[in-house]
Amino acid sequence: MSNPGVIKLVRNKYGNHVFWIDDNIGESIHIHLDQFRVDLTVNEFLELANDLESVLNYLFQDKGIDVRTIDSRFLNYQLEQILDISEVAQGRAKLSEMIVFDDLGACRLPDSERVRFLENGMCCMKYKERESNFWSQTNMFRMKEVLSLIRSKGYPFNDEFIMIEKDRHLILDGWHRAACLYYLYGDIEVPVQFVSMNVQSESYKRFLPINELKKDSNLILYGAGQNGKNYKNQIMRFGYNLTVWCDKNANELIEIDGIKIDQPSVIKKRAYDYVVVSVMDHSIQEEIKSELVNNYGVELQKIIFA
Amino acid sequence: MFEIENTDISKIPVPYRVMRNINNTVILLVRKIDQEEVVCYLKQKGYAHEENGWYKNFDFRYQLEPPISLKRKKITIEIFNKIPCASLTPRTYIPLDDAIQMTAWEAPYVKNNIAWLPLEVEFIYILTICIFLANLSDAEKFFLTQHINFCDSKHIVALLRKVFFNFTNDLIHLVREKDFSNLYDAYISFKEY
Repeated sequence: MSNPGVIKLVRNKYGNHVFWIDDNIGESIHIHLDQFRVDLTVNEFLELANDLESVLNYLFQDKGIDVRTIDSRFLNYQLEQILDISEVAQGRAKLSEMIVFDDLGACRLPDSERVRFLENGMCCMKYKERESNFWSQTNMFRMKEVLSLIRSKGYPFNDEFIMIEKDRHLILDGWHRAACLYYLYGDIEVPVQFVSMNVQSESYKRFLPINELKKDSNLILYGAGQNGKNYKNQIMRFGYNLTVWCDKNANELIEIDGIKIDQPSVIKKRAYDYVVVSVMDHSIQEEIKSELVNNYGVELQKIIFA
Repeated sequence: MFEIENTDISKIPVPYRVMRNINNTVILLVRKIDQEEVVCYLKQKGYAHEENGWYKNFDFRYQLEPPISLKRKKITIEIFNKIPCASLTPRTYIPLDDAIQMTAWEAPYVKNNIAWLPLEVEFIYILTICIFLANLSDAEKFFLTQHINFCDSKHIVALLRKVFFNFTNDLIHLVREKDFSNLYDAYISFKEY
């Protein structure tokens, strides 16, 4: 008969496979992968965790990353991004220039859910519960904990810095700390770890290259696929003007989220500051570049690629 | 705690066991084959189905079924066909081990014409409530204190191990010390397994 003292430590899907770990108090730790299960004592489990941490550190040693200073929840959810890191360096960054990728998409830190949550007196009505019950923490609990820690110990604490992607200033680790610092001290400059990522990686290309776009720019968005929709959301959230959204399959797509999808030929008739290409595939990007320059007269410096 | 003797439970026409009487709610154990007859009897006595009970938002697993809940005025009777145990998995209940379920149907403890769980099973059940569910009433704490000697019984210790596994020895130690308020913290911080 099942143990009532079961705490699910983690659960994830990897493709068609389901992986989870249960702590069966008094009995053993169960590590499951689909129908396969390994039973460990607590000590064996902790040894395994230490060994895996050592392996990760070995993998990342050339990049100057010590995984022990990275929030372990971030490690779990963002491992794909960590694998794309090419270099880590210390630096300083202004809080208002940091980008957060939250449930509503990417935005600047001051406009993020977490900052609004703090400014609204931690009203959690619209703030989702933490999905993992690893620590049985809600987001509200986590935010209170971080706020208290910063007030009492300051930032950084324990050499744990906010990690920011170098080009796009996207916060990779430290969303809560950044939000709390902004809430407490306003738009100050703080020490961070700048992370350079493999620019060819898909995870990097998911983020609108706002560092290349001037504020209030008029944009033409090329591509209405998955990343095109992702870019459209970010364009709206960052306050750019989306003048045209085009795709070669405009006749089939017609409109998405109430926005008309035009044929790329419309570019010749519209005024714009940049054409943002959401297509990620490098070889297709080259074709699109040629099309934009030769067919529609777009200047090369106005084409921004994912 | 209302006077259970004033309800119609004592005249239920099938074997039953009272598990708990708290906050105007009586929790009954009735065999699955007898549940329909009990429901019929209680309806004749003026009880009606409670459609939106607490259990609607819970998962009942490993063949434990949600309770049948009947209400008359302020009194609620919840009927389970297995002894339930709240799980540390949020909003989940499971049945206690089969060995405990079978022992529940041995000779009941009868008080004022009401058939309760056998005392040793009640002892185990109250301990599971203490750790997995809620604070105990003063009467329940007193019950545990009164029956501390159950911890000397190999049979009861064996049944406790079905629920608490390697924590059982620590559990017995704390129970002997009457340290009921620390049982939950001791349980979730236990690592010797």
